[in-house]
Amino acid sequence: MAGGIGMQTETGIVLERTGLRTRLLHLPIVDLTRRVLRVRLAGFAIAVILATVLMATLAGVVAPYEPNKVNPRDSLAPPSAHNWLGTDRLGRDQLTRLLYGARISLAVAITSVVISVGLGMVMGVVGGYLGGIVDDVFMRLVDAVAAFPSLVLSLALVAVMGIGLQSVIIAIGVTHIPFMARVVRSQVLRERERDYVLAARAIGAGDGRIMLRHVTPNSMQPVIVQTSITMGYAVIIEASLSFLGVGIRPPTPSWGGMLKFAFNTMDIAPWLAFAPGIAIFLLVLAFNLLGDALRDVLDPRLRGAI
Amino acid sequence: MKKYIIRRLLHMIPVMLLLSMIVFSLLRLLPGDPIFALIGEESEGLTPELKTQLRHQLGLDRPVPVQYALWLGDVFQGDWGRSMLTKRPVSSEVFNRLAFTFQLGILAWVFSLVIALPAGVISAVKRNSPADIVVTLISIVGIAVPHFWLGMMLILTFGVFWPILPTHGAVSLLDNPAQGLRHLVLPIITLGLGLAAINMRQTRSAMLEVLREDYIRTARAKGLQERAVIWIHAIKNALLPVVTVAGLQFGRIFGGAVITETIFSLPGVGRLAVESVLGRDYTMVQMSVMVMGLAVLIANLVTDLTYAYLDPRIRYG
Repeated sequence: MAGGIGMQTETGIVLERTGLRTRLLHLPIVDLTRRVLRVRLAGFAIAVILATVLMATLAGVVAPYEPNKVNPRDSLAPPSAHNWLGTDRLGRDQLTRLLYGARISLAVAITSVVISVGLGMVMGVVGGYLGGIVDDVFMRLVDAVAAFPSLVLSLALVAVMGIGLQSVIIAIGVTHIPFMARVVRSQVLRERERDYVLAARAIGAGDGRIMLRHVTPNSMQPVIVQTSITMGYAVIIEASLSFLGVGIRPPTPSWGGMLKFAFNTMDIAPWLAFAPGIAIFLLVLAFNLLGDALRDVLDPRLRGAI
Repeated sequence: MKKYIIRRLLHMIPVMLLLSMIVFSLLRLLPGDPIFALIGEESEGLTPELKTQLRHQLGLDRPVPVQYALWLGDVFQGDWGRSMLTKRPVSSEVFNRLAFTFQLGILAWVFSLVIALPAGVISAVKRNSPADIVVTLISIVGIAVPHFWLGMMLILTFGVFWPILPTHGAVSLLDNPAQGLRHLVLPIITLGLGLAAINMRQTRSAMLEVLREDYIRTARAKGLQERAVIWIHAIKNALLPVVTVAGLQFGRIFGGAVITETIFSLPGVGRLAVESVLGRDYTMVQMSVMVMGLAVLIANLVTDLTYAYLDPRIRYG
């Protein structure tokens, strides 16, 4: 009998141990990461994004020079042991500016996507769940905003709000609300017909509670996918605006701004045109690949379809 | 079909009104005195009395909805306002530039389809072959490369290292077709590669889907040669949606045109928008943005109608 209890305890302990490990492994975020990493190229995507995050956070520590230090004597120096990526027309070190530029790209991508996800979800959930006139108004508004090419609308919004970081973030955030709203709405239309919504209503939950506590969490999967892809777009549009001279105000280093500088001296200093372009390309590629991988994992029906 | 067309046209009206409200509010949202936004820097030297009078004349003392209605009325009559820099009517400038952008956009669109359709079909038919891998890689890369950097790389390659193509300005295709096309080669590639990447992906997935259909199995089962199965049965069915859906890329074309025209100094409406933002020519910004939005809406409508005409399932769905 006593042995039996010991056995039980023993098994109990063993079970508890596996339980902790299993629990850790099955935390939604850990579980999702593990499944995403199994998709082809997803590891590469995550590595590129982590590398960019490291560049942004450690720029102040590892950058060899001051990002805005003008040094006319070193103007347009080719890559060398002192300046690995060369210097621009004002003699500023390219590597340093590339590292600091990661901050702008990531900051704009993250903050603008918060705006698009936040407002897009409100419009998608409320419109999709309530239907009727609210949905009609929201969706016509979404159609109208989506008719403008995102770069063109961002350009117009920046023109009104004035050039600078804040305007760029708001402009990019606002122009991407329609995509998010549509994605969320189509998912909500499906979710609101489910039995659990009926069950919630049966026990007396109000519309607000059903939307917030039941429908929204169950409509998150396409949002996660869309968020990653939208961050890629945000990086491209910020870089494009800065390249056009209406984005981040110089001398703040941004990858698009560096390419604008490089464009003007391309015939005498072509080396300046490579690194920032490759950095933008890799980061956008990474967000796209991560989005694809997330879609494969979260919605296996679509695997390989798009 | 008639019912569907009428429904789609009615659906357009509120969207167009909302679009015009967004564009209208762009000028009204400007910080500071709207007189400045409408007349420009000359307004700064005016006396307060004159400003009040002007405000009355321009209708700025009326309620905003009334202002919007008056403005919309003017727009309908073709009065799109005057440029704050040149003082000339913006409409002629915007429409001239629009013609160029259309020309560039259509050429880039055709270029993208010419590349994407065969590439997409081959990669679907020979799934997992080296050709498929190359096409998939190109389509992944093509979507992620920013237009302006691609343009820079093309200028660097074909204008600086190996100067065989013009990288600056445009020549009218009507006056000198050969030179005109030469000037458009690099812009067309810059604008078209991203489109090609998307179209390749779409062609590939449409083909893969069609190849799984029962009628393909039937065609094979009755002993048709693989070539006939692909050409007669599969491609026809797969390309219909691809080509029509490709019509929805107008927005992307305008967005890309902003960059492409700026890099290659081309006289299109995209570059006009950038220049007007930099020159604070707000009426010009307003109109170029509005025209691009309207063009996208109309293109989408035409695409939807074509698609519905070609595929009856949409109309009654």
